[in-house]
Amino acid sequence: MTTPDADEALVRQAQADPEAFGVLYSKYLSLVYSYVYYRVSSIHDTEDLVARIFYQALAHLKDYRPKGLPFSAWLLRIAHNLVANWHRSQSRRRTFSLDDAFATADERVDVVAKAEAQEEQQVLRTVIADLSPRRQQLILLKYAEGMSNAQIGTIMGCSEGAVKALLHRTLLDLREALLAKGLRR
Amino acid sequence: MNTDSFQSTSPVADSGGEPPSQTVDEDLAPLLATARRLKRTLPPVQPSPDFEEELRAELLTTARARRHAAGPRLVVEPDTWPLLPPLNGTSPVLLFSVGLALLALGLALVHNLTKRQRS
Repeated sequence: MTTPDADEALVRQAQADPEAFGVLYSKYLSLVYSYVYYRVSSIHDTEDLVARIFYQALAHLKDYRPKGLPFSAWLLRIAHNLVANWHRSQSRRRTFSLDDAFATADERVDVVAKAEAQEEQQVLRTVIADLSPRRQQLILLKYAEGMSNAQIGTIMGCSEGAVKALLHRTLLDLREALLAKGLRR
Repeated sequence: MNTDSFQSTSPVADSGGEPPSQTVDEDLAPLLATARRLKRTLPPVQPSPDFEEELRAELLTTARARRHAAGPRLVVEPDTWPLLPPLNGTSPVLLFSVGLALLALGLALVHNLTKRQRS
């Protein structure tokens, strides 16, 4: 992530000329993609949602005002809303993805270890999916994106201390939930 | 009550899962394990190059269509129309007098024309 000031210049450029939006797209595609993937767990749905997020961002770019928040926070807010709508529109909640099944089914090496890893990932995703949206966002930004508490605070609109406190409580809750699901390692 | 605003000084939360020092509280060790598990299980995911390029091309097409649809920029007119340059700064009384004189001249011309037509 770069500074909000650097993004502001890019956003102003894109507001004046929509074709310049490509720079912002390249910069934030991975962040948005990873964020969505861990909340829907299917490559097909992820690609569909990511496309919709960037289309919506392009359409509303002229309305974007920094207001002290970085562009990435604005993008993730769009992502958060669309993912929430997507979950609402699903008749049943999916916690296991066929994409994952096919990905591991093709590999024959160390089947047992892979099956265990897949099971662990499945349990972890289920447990994360049960967290509040705010806590889900925190965990994904922290562990999937590897952001610092300060960066997360900027995106989530709270202090670094508040991020630290929320992370501590979330880890405690996750640990309890994982123990309840039988993951003790 | 929103407990999300409570403060904490957890080294786990500070470090994002890595041991911050040699002495880690025994209570925090399980949390470190949970954080490590999260790191291991949630690696960053990259989109496929095909998807990235396809979406980039589609967005570019949309952006171009938007630019063409917007067309040339409209010139915003000022709130009040400016006075014509020769009259700018002229006294309103003088303007009224000139207008009255022009009106009288016009009426006189109309009167003469009708008079000629009758004769």
